Amino acid sequence: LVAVIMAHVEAPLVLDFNEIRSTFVHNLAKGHQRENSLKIAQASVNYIRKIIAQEKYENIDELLEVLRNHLRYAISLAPTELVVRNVFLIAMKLAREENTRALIGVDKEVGNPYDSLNTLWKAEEGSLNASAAGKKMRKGLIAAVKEILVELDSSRESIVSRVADVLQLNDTVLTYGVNSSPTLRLFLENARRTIKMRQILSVSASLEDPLCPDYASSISLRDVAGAMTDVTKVLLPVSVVFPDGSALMPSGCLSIAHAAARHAVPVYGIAAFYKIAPFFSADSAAAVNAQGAIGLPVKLADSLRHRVILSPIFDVVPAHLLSLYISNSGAVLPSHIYRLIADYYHPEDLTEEL
Amino acid sequence: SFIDFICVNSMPLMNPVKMGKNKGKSQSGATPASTANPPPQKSPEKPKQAAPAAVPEAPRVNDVEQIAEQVNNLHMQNGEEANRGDVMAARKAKAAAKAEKAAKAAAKKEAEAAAKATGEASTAAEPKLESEQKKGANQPQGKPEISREEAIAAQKAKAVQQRAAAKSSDKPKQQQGQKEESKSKSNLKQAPSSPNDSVKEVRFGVTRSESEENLMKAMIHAEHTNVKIDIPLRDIRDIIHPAFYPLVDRCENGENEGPDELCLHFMECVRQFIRKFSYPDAHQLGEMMDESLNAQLRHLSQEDKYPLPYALGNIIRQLRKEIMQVGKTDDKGRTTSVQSLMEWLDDSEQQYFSLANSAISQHLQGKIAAATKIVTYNWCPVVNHVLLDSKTKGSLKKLTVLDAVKNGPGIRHLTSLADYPGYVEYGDLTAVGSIFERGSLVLLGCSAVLSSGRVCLPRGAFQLALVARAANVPVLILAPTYKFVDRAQAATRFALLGKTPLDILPPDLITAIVTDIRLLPPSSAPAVLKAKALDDAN
Repeated sequence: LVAVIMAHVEAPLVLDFNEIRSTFVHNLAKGHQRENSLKIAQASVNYIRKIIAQEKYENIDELLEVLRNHLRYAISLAPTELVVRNVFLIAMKLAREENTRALIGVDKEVGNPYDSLNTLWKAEEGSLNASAAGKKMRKGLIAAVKEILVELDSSRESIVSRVADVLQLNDTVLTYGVNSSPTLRLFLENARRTIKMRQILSVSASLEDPLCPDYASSISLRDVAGAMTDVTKVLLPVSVVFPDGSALMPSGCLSIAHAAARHAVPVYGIAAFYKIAPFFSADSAAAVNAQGAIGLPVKLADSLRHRVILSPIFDVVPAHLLSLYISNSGAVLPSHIYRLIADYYHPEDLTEEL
Repeated sequence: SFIDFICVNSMPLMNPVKMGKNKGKSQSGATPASTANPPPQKSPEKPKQAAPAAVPEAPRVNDVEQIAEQVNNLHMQNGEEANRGDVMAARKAKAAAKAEKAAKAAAKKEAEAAAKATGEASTAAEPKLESEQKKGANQPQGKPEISREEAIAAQKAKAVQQRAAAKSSDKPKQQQGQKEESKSKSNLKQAPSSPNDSVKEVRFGVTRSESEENLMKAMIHAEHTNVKIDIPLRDIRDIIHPAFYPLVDRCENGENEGPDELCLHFMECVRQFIRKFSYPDAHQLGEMMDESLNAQLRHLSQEDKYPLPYALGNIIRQLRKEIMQVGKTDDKGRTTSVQSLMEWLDDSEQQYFSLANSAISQHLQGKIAAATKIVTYNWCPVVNHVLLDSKTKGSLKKLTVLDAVKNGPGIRHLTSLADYPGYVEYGDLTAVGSIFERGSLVLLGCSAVLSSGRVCLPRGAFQLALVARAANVPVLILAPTYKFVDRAQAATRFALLGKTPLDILPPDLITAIVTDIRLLPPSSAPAVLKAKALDDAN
C-alpha cells in the first residue's frame, strides 16, 4: 500500500513537498494493521531520498537541520515507530561521512569520532569542521542512501540464511507471532527445508488460528509454561533492540522468556540492523494498542465503566533473558550490541534532542 | 486389593473358587484341574451369572465390621496409598495363607490358558485379568441385604453398559462375553505380588454388581485397544441418584466456575441425597448410605478414570466418616441420627467456606492496606471475598485482574466491584509484563495445596508468578484448609470439571499461603495436614 501511494505521488512533475511528507506520515500512522518493519524502513529511506533530492541546503549543518525537521514531524505523528528514527539517524551519519569524504577525498582516512583522543588531537585542524558544498554532497549522498536500500533488501536474506547457526536436528521450537513477522516466517520455512525439526509451536491467541502456518501447531500463552519442558529453542521476533541489549518484543514475550529461562532454554531474537536503536525510548515501551478490539461484550459496558482495559503492544525483555540476536551481520550477543551502534550512528547525532 | 485378603482370612476358600471354577467349566469347557481345590464344582452357575447380584454366601457378621473398619481407615484418595495399604495387608495375608496362593496361581494360569484358547488378545489379557480378578474378588465379600439397591444400580449400569458397548467397536462387545467367563473362572484371590499392575484400583472398596463389572471390563478393554469410552455426563446422569442431577447438569453446561462452587454444590446435592435415602434397618443405615454414596461417586468419577477434584475428595472423606456413624451408638450411649448428620453438614459447610473465607480476609487486611496494587488472576470466590472486604474497609487501592483470554472468568471480579470508585484494570495474559509496579501484591486462589508445598492453580498462573518474582512482587495463595491434600503429585484431568488444565506452582514461586489458621510458608503444608488429621481424629 505504501508503494502504491508513493507511486501516485511521484507522477506529477511539480512536487509539493508537503504532500510527500504527509503521505509518508499518513502511511505510518494509518489503520490498525501495521506494516512490517522492513516495509516501514524502506518507505523511510525512499522518503529520505526525496528529501535529499528536493530540499535546498548549502552545507552539512543545513542538511542535518533539514533532516532533523522532517524526522521531528514524523516522530510527532508516530512516536512508537523507532525504525523511522533509526533510519533517519543512519542517513544523518552517512551525510556526515559524505561531507568529510567530499572535503578530504575518498582515499584519506577520515577522523572517526570513536577514535582515541590522541588520534583526534593529531588530526588536521579545520578538516573536521569544514563543510563541502551542498551540491557536491548531494550526488554522493544519494548514492550512499541507495546503498542503505540495498542493505535493507539483503538483510532479510542474510538473516534467513543463518538458520544453521541456531537450529538443529530434532529441535522443538517455540515461536511467537509468525503471521506478523515475515522475516520470522521465512526463517522458519528455510529451517524446515534444511533441518528436520521435531515440532514447531507457535503461540497465538486462539488455538485454531487460521493464520498459523500448517507446519506449526498452535499453543496458547497460558500453556507455554507447561510446554516449555519439551521445548529446546525459543525464537522470538524483535521490534527494537536497545543499546543495553534488551529488546522491545510483542506483548507476551516477556513471560515466554521467563519460562524459557527457568527451563534453561535458549531464546533467540531476530533483529535486522535497522532495528538496533541507539537510545532507549520509554514511549515505545509503554505503547498501547489503541485501535485493537477490546475483546469484551457490550453488555458489560455499564458495570465496566471507568475500567482500564490493558492492551500493551510491547514487552521490554531484559538482556539477561536473551541468548543471541540473529542479525544480518551475524549472531550477536546482547551485551555486544553497543558495538554495532558505532557502525551505524554518529555520536553527535545522538546528543541532539529530537 | 487388601479387602480381598480380609475375606481370604475369614471366609472359606471353597466358595469363590467354586464359583470361579464352575463358570469356567460350563462356559469354555476347559477343565480346571487344580488338585488343591475341593471337589464340588458342579453347582448351577448360569443363574448365578444371570442374576445381577452374584452374591455367593452371606459372610459372617464380624466380616462386615472388619470391612467397615477398613473402609474407614482407608484414607484412600489416591492410588499410591491404596497400593501401600494393599501391600501391607498383602504381606500379612502372604504369611497366613501360602497354600491357598499356590492354588490360586495354578487356577489363574488355567484361566489364562482358557482365555487364550478363546482367542482374546493375549498381551492385553493378563493385566486385565488380574484387575478383573481383583474386582471379581470383591464381589464375594458383598453384604447380604443390598440386593434391592444393587438391582437398581445394576439396571442402570446395564443400560450404560449397553450404550457404551454400542458406542465402542464390536470387539469389546465380544470380549465382554469372554471376559465374563474368564473373570468368573478366575474369581480368585490374586497373589499380592503385583498390586500395582491393576489398571483400576478399587478406591472405596465396596461391592459392585456384575453388570457394573462388565462395564468396567469394557472400559478397560477399550482403553487397551485405544478406543476411548468417555462417558459423557448426560449418560452418567441416567445411572446416578436424582439428587445429583443438578450437579451433573451444571457441570455439563460449564457453569461450574471452579472447585469452590463445585464443593458447595456437591454438599447441597448430598443433603438432598441423605434426605431421600431410607433404609429399614436403623443400625445398618449408615453403612448402606455410605455404600450408596460410594456407588454414586464412582459413577461420577467414571469408575475412577478421572479423579474427583482434590478439595472435594477431602470433604467427601469427612462426610463418609460421619455417615458411617449414623445409626451407631458410641461409647456414651448416644446414637447419631440423620438429623445430627444434617447438622454436621451445615456446620462443616459454614466452617469450610464462610468462616474460613472471613478468617483469610482478616489475615490479609493489613497486607492489602500496605500494598499499592493488588493483582489477581482468573476467578476465585475466596479472593473475591477478600477484595469485597477490603473495599468496604477502604483499604483497596488499585486492582488489576488478568485472565487467560479476555472476557474470561476474571470478569466476575470486575462486575462484583462495579461500584468501586478506585482504579481497576483488566487485561489478558499478554499484559503481564506491564502491570507490576512498586508495592504490588499478587493474590491467587487455588484448587488444591499438595503436601510437597506445590499449589494447583488454573493454567496461566505460572507465567504470572514467574514475572512477579522477577519484578520482586510477593505472591500469596489463598487456601482454606480443606484444600490441603495429602498427595505429592497431581493429575491433570478431573471428573466433573472436565479436562480442567492445571498449573502446578512450585514452592519457590510462592511467598506464602494464607489459610484460615494463619499465614504459612509453602513448606508448612504437611504441618497443616497433620493438624487437620489430629483435628479429625478428635
